[in-house]
Amino acid sequence: MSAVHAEPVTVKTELPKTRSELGLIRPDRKTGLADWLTTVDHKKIGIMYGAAALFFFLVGGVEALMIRTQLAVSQNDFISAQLYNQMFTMHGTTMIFLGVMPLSAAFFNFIVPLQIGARDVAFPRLNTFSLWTFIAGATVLNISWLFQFAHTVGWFGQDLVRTDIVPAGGWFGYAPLTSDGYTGIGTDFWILGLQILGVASLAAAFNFIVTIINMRAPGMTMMRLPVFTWMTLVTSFLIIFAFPAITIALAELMFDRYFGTNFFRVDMGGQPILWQHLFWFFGHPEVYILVLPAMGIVSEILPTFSRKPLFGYPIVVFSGAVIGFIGFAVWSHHMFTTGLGKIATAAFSLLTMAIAVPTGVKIFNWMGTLWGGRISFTVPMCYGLGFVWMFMLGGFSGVMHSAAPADAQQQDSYFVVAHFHYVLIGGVLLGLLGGLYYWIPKIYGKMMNQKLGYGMFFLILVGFNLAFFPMHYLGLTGMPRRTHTYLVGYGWDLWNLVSTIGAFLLGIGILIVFIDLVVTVLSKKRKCSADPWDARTLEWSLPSPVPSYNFAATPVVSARDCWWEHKHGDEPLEYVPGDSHGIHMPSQSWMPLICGVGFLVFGISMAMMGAGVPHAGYVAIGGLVTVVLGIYLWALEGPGGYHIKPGPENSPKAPTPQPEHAEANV
Amino acid sequence: MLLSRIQQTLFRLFPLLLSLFVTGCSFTGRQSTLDPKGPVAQMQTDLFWITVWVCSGIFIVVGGILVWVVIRFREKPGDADKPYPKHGHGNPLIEIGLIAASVLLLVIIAVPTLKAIWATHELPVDEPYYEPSKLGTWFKGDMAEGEEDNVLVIDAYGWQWWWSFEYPQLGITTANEFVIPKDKVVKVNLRSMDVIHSFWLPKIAGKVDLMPGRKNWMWIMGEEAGHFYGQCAEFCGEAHAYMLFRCDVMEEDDFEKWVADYQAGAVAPSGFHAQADKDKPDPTARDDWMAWSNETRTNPEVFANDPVSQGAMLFMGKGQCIVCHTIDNSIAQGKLGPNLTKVANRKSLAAGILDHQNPDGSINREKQYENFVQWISHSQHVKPGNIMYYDNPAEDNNAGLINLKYAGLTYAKLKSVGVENSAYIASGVDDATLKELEANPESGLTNFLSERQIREVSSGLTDDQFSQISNWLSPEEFAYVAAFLQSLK
Repeated sequence: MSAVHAEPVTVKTELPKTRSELGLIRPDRKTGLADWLTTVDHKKIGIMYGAAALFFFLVGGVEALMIRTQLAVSQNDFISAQLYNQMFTMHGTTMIFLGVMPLSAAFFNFIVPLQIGARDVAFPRLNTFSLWTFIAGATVLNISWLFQFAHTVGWFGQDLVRTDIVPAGGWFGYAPLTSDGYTGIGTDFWILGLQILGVASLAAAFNFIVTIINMRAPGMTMMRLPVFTWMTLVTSFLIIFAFPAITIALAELMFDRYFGTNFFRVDMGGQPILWQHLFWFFGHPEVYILVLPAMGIVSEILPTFSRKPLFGYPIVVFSGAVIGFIGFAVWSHHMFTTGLGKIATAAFSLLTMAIAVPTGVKIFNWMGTLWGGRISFTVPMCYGLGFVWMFMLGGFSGVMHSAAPADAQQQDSYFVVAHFHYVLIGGVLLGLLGGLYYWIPKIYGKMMNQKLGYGMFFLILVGFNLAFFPMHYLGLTGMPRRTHTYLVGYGWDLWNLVSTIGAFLLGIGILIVFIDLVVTVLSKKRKCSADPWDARTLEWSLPSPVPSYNFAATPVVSARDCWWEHKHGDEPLEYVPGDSHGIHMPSQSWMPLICGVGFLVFGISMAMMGAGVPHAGYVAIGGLVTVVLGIYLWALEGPGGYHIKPGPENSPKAPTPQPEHAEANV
Repeated sequence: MLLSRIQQTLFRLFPLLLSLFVTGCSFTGRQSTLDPKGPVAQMQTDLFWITVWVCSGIFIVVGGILVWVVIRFREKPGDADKPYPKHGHGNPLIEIGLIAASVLLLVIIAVPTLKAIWATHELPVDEPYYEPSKLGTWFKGDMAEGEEDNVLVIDAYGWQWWWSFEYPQLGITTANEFVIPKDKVVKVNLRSMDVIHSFWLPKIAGKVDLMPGRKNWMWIMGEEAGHFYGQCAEFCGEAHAYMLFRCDVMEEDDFEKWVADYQAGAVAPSGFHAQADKDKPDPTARDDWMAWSNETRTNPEVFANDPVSQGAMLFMGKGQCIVCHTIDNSIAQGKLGPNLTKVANRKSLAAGILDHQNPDGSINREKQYENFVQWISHSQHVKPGNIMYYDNPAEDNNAGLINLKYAGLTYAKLKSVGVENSAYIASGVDDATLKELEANPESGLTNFLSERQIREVSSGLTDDQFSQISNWLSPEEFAYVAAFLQSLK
């Protein structure tokens, strides 16, 4: 133990309040709402990302259940065709951009700096900017529901006669259906919302790349990084290469709709196929953006509960990177039926098969990790094992699609719906829920209800398979997706009903998990130790909840799984002696929030401009000016900051001799 | 403890689910891809089964090992006292071996995939599927001259939300239901008229998109005579779910008869025949229609008691159907809606939603009549968003029957069916405008009110009342049109 931990008391040294040249003072150490609005702490930002993600999971889930209720029986009229189209459009967009991505981002934010032994991310204010920009984009997208509701109940009076206010062009937004000749302002909300979300994702991705490359603790070489951090890095690179493609596509579509350009207008020589290439050049890497973080989480959970390091660490990391790389070379397998011609079809077919190899490698290595281990079936472990099984099934149907001629029958049928839900729920969501159960004790210092956890895992697994396995059958017997109903006599009634029942079980399971999460967060009883799982990586060396400054002293890493080696091996952690003035903490800032508000104003008023609201264009310009102003003042608001000296109650705990088990903490 | 309870529940549930699955599954449903009736679908299904076998094999091996590992290496009581498991970090030989095995398994899929890609993307030139179509020799009509040995071509056009099928070599246009000869290669050109659609006829062939601005095509062949179901597979807007189509695969003789019948065109109502004269001793169907058309203009009372003729007059006249629809040979030559020549020979209406086929494949005429009436008088309920009754107050290009409904409304006419001033006030009409209306009761409402206000004011009226005061057809008139449409066979 280094001397730092013997510091007797916590000492906070305020630096003199410095006004910047513009006379601005940065806020710090506020409590309450202002603290959350101005925070630059990666942990609080992570928690806000998580809260937003869980909220939007519920929104997307309600949309999913509306869809399933409509399809429960043939020729149902529970919701109208147009409303159904809005439901599946918003369900897809919400789950991908507002559910899974921000929940992954929540883990990136909270866990990655702790795993690499850093004080914070590289650019704390940029991190806040990502959060508020994300909230702005999510609001732009979903406020269309509010407008549609207001219109339906007549708040807009007689003159506004638009009926299609919520996006209804599908999450994939194929031109020319999304051109102004075919869809209304819903598409404008969709374009603007996604564009703003793209800004948030790009800013966050750059932040994490710089953080992981530059902020690692001494001795934390790249090949000692925890796999979750590695997958964060790969995902971040995928984001910065993939999002520009959709940014361009959305900008072109926006120009077509607002300013009369001809990118996608067929009668003017535009090319709708261009949209698909740009969209899927983003859209396929996006699949890996969604799934790689979950793979990273599972690669943390399986070794922890097998009491054994990850089998073939270098090759797991390498295959993650290869998946990311080949992920950019398979986009046209979403377009096998668009008339690519035989050469391109063959090439993309073979490349798609190739991507199965690194994915298979990961599965083999997870099995290798389990092999010879001492597997304890904690709740996170159940989710981890469920992930491996369900993801494998989704992978198999993926291989079936890669055979282009077979895909000609499966494309746009329920077989595809089954496939990607096995990947996205069976894979991603189970992985993320596993991550929740695994890291909530670190985030809040409290343990979620484990008995309930087992039960809900079982319910989710059963509900999920009941909902989505029959869809393989429905697709193979010819049921196309994105149809608001189906006629009697096609033989689809029974399995649609079963699927709907399964979807409700799944929904109930997830809802109860979320409720338990909220109860856990609010509860004062469920306290647990700092390292309840006897885990392997650096974040578990910290007290729970993690103090604002993270590490009282920077650890020196001398091995992979360094916390495990410290506890049970022969590589004890050393710490770098701290500076005499203590730890430098940054001040907070209002500027990222101002930028977010600017984006919000910009997005909504652009959509209003599309609807023909007078002067909305000027308000949109005002929104953009606010964004620029926020960034400008941000640059000029001065350094701020203060010093803090942690006391012994916050220093890293010595390892507990007997690992505590989850059950003991319930 | 908990785990074993979960296991028990699973074991109890599994047979139940399995039996449900077995009894609930038929693989020969209308659009089943697992019941191929043509070489393209056959190739695609064969390939699918190869992928299924390979994947199932892997699943059984990998899944089996995974189950064994999880059971074998689970934490047992007393394990806590033992030393931690050995820390291995991987084994390059195992890794390389597994990668090689995966690649080999993928090759099993890749080779037939490549074969099938080429086969489905090129018109077949080899046995067993290609025999020169012999269009010129087996089809004796004039249209086929010079088309010898060329493959039969069908141009499929996708519209929101229906299909048009043209046979350019035969001069035939049909809609939503088309016919192909059995055992002949047919080339289908796929063209979209608006957004992206996708042509999917599962038992005959997998889908290819209709991409606006691009010239996609596919080849198909039916190897079993029958009635096959397909539908649009690319999301194309509000009524995408209702964009169905059908294909009859016919024996050559039947196909030939169908073509000859179709080319003869529609017969004029009441069996009206033009008089032979010395210029044209053998009048054509077109002459019949022209004669009928003249007669309706000069002598409309002749047709007073004949529903079919009444319907035809409404179709060509007041109902304005001919603006969008074509009936071959007749004066109806609209190009925006489905071609209605022989529409009564089709087994469904409204792109496959309204079905009137008996189980034996014949047409249930009563049901067909009902469907016609329902479709033309309430199309907005049958297929929301369709442009036969395009009711979107946000746009100026409202089309079709909706225009009939509000055309010619005046203050006086509305008053005659009981619309009082209170209805105007409730719709936001101010006093000044109302005074003007009262001053000009015979002037069209569009001069004073917005389209939305007109709709609001008249929203309480029944279809029957509309038919009294506007150009909207009365139920009786709709019935006449239906009777006429039913005569088109």
